[in-house]
Amino acid sequence: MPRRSRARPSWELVAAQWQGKAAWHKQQAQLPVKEKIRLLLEMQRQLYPIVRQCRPLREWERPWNIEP
Amino acid sequence: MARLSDAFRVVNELREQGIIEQYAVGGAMAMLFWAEPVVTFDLDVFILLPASTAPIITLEPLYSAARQRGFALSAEHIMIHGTPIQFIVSPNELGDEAIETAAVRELDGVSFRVMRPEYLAALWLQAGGAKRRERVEVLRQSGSLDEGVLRALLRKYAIQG
Repeated sequence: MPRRSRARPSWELVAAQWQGKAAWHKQQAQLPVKEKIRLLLEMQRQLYPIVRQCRPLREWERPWNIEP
Repeated sequence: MARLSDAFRVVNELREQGIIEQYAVGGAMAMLFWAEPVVTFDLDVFILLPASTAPIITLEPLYSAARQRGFALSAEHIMIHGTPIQFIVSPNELGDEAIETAAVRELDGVSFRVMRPEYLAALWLQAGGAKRRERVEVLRQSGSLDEGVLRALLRKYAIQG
């Protein structure tokens, strides 16, 4: 089946999106440490049930029972 | 509820009591202090042990001190105030230097030591692997990496960038 011709983003749009992504990473890197710890704890809570379904977890592999 | 700073306070006490000579937080957790957070379920603390005449290094004094304080051991990790900490003896001279030159940071009034980003990157490049290389890129994107310092470390320790 012949491929349908699709419109593609302009070089400027792609570059702007990459710049936006880079700026977001830099912004995340500059967050206060307490906020980063809060994000880490949140990521642990979200990832835990997914990882648990994928493989057996070791005893210590669970969300930390701490506050930021 | 405990905080991360409570765990750092205990690590500092272990150093003050001479059970460890010096330490620095490494691994994914160290990245949090220089770049955006990445998920991890444990905290790596790289350590230098006090000089000993024994031919084999053992972590038993460390584990014993942890048990005496009521902290549970779990598969090479010590559960300190809700945080699983793995104490890793510095594997080589680069590790020693990373610990010795660590930055001092403070959390809730507790100071602690964390490896500088160039040393984290050098150790990850030395160990190799896709995941570690990806972390080096995250450090690069954060703008916290001094490429000149990293290049010098890679040259000094003959590590492929």
